Amino acid sequence: MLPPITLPEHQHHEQTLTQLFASNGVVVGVRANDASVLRRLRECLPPDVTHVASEGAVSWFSLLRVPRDSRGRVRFELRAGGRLLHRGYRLSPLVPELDSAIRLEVGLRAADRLFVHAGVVGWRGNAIVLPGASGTGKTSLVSALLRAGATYYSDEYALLDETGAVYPYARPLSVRQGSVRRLLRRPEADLGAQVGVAPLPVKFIVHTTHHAGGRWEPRLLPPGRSALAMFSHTLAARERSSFALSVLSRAAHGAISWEGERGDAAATAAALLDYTDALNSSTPSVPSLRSLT
Amino acid sequence: MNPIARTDRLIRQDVGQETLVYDRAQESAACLNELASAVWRHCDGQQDIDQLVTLVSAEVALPEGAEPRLVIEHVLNELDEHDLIAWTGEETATAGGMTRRSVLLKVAALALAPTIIRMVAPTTASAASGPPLPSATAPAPSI
Repeated sequence: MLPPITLPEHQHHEQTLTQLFASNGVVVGVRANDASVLRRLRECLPPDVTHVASEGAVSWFSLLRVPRDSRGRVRFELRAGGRLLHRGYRLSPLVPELDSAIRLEVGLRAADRLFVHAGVVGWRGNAIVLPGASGTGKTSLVSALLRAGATYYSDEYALLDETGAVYPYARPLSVRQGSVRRLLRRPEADLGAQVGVAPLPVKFIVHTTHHAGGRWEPRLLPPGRSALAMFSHTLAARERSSFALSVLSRAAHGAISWEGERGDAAATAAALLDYTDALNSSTPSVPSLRSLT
Repeated sequence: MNPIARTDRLIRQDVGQETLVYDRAQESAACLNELASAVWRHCDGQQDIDQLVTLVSAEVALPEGAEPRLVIEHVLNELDEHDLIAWTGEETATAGGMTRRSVLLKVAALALAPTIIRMVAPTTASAASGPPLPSATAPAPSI
């Protein structure tokens, strides 16, 4: 663990400060020359991060306060390696950009984990995985499942190992409340949910998108089709295609997969947990399920 | 002419009775259902279509009411369209005087369900929630 930074706010330093951290085996370095930047770095770190003091970062980012422009305004620059990603007069918009860049980098380079864009909750010792793109209602369904008693694992990525088990990646939840979004840094307190700590076997995979007025009438999806659908949300699909197919096939083969549009998140969450309970107790028929096979 | 499964630049992964295939040349992924997987598995360049009908129908339940040979030709047509098979030997007319191409065109007109689902592999940016960003593995900036 590096010592805390104690520099004054917005003080420009000629000497650059560096922090190194590791996430899923990927060592990332961040350089900054402004204490406020490093103070806000905590917002950008993956949830499972550990600080490291050694050299050897494979990926470098820098968020620098650069000399004032000709009109005397303070500027900030975000770089990945040596490449300029963003430049602006305010620090705040660059922080989420750095956040996104770090998560992406870790997701691409984690050797023994596959990052699939998905929400994940735990339920009775198994994982329910909700693959999907941004804007498809993933967060609202994860939140509803947590309110219904599920355990929080992730709102963004399903981290799968070579056996197909899923690991927690519990970032703060960004939930819509009325017309605004609110960041729930502690879902356990805000939603009464527990946060998972141990890997879980993937038992259910739910491919669903929200449609206003939609009804949750899922169809069973064969495991190969489910794995292919998850592949479309996989970070390193092209770069690590062989690993991706192996991991996704294991996860999907051991799971029951559904697909279909949904409406209200709370109603869907309740139905989903009822289905999983029914299947776990070997109830012979589950309502509204139609086989695609 | 006999069909032979393409292997060059393909990654193959069985998922139960289905098969996932990644095509490095085209950066695409496909899922073959049980029927297509069985047909593809037997495409070794040694079996003609009639032999494939016999082999596959012994392993997989073909769609009810469909002529088995047409079903297999339908699958071969899909495998051909997705560039998963090649054809060995000289093209000769079938017993009915039809060439492979004319058979496949005829089969393509049948209303049989697809046995192969295919998608272009996502780029990093399209699979991620954030904006597209370049790699950060360039040397650390000198600052």
